[in-house]
Amino acid sequence: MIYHFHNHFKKKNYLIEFNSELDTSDVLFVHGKLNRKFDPYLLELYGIMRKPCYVIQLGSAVGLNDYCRSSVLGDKIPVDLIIPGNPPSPIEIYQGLEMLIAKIMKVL
Amino acid sequence: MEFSQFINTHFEKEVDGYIFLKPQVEDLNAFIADLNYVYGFNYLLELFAVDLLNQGKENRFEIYLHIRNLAKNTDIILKFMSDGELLIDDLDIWENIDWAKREMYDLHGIGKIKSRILTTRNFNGHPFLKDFIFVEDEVQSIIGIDDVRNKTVIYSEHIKEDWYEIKPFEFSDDHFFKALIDNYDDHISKIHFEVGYTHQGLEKIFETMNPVQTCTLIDQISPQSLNQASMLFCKAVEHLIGVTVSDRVVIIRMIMAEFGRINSHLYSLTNLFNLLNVDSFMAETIQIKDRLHILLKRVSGSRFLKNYNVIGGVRFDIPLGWSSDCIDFITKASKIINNLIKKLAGNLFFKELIEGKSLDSKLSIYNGVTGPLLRSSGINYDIRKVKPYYFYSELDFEAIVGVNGQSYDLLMIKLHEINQSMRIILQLLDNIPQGKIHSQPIDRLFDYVNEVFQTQKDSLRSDVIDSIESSNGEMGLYLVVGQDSFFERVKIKTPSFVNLQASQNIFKGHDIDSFNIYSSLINYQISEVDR
Repeated sequence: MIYHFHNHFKKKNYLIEFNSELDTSDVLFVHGKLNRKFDPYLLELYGIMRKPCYVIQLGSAVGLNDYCRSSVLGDKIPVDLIIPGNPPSPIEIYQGLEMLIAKIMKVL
Repeated sequence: MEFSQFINTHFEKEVDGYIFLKPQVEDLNAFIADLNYVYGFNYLLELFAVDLLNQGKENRFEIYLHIRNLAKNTDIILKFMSDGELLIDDLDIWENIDWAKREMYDLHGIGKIKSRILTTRNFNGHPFLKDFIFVEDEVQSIIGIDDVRNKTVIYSEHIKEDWYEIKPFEFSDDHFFKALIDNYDDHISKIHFEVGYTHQGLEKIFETMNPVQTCTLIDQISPQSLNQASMLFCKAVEHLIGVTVSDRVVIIRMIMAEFGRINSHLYSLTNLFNLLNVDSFMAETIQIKDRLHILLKRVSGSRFLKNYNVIGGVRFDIPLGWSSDCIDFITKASKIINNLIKKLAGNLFFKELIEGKSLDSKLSIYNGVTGPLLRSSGINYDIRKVKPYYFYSELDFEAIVGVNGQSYDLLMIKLHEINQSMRIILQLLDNIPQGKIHSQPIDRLFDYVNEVFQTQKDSLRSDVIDSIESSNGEMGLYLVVGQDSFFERVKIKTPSFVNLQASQNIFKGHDIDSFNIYSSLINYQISEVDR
């Protein structure tokens, strides 16, 4: 989907480019229910990424059972933006990315 | 000995075409081996346990084993009691019994194979037991936000293993599993999958939940094939509590299920074209998919038909003028699909690029694979044809079967199945009758089902088994009615679970490139595996 999305909006905003390599990317997308088994991998991914990096959470779905549910993402790693919807549509994600860019620009 | 004589002493009941047996023999392994070698029951569907703690029976667990004779299309369900040990531990006729055993140990603590599959390795207890109490794991709770920032956490255990990204990630569901591959000269010698990273324990929640609530959650199991899982669940529960639905509801459900098949196949095709960098084909499939989502959004307000099926009907009626838009969509989409078939079937370069090794039909049966993958190896088995449910027996369509069992066959099957689904939808759109959308008003539905389960519990059957042809293969549902809660056990047999497991044997000898192509065509939905 990231690839489709990339082709879709490539011409509009030159600041956004999708990439699956960890050392050259700035934004980490996290989606879906967080699981205890998955936690170490998520933290490892975040550890490898170059800093400063930004985290976007897609949807806020929470698992239902205690034994496999992990805690909220914000407690594990710092989250910059939450885009609601399960799953959010491509346009909503694009708007979210624009908001993130505006946020970064303000700080700079 | 004839088959009827052979099972005569063990016979329990025959319901809906399923034969239930309670084997009273000392050597159960020999009994099942006889069923396989002499009577041709060579296809294993499901193996699962039910915890009967509160029913005060002699043994605590009841184990169900569902096997099938594909040629004669007869189903047998063996039921035997257990007290923590598995009587068929040494049975290794079927390749796909391994993961079933591991799942049973993981969730119920039965059997000799002590390796977990869905939960973490150091998990305490077995979550599906009725007296299970969760104790927080110490190691998990230590890792926190400050440790990540200060990099005090060391991940040495995970970094050792090799990672392969199998396919592009989708937003629609959580494709995450680990493949550990041993290779020589870019050819796979051994492959091992690790799953469970998105495990939610949905089946445990369904046990205590009102079936009306379950309908809203069950579609999370296979998000790509839209409302097929909830259709299966509604069909089974309506059959159990004796609710009749109108023909209009049945036809609307069938239309949506076929749209689900188109949607799922389009996803796998886009992934394939993405892998091969064929941008022009990819743009066409994305175009159809986006149009389809707009069409479905008009019906339920959601692109993925969330929460559409309810018990006794569907939530919303189709809007005015929707069916003519459907026909408009189908005429445009079928033009594109036919064009794709024409381009791909004649293109020798493309065929050489993706064809790969062939899949043996015997291998596919003993691995229990289902759906398009089974049909690609030359076995004509489609539940819509073999055991028609709803109106499928009256419709005019074809089950598409492959010849060589290569990934090229699989691609052609998917393309032609999209065409067949459109053909089905056109026939259904012509015949939508007038009728009620739900049998009960939706606000009263929750109380109504509650009442039925409380007052008529004694007259209900003890178990219901049902299956449909979902987009990736046969999806089965096993409901065991409980005494205190609604169900003692809800077990969903999903196609991706067996297909992913079978891939461990199928992919031996493939090179890694063809593995990528093949796996994007098989289209694993990991939420089906983990549940």
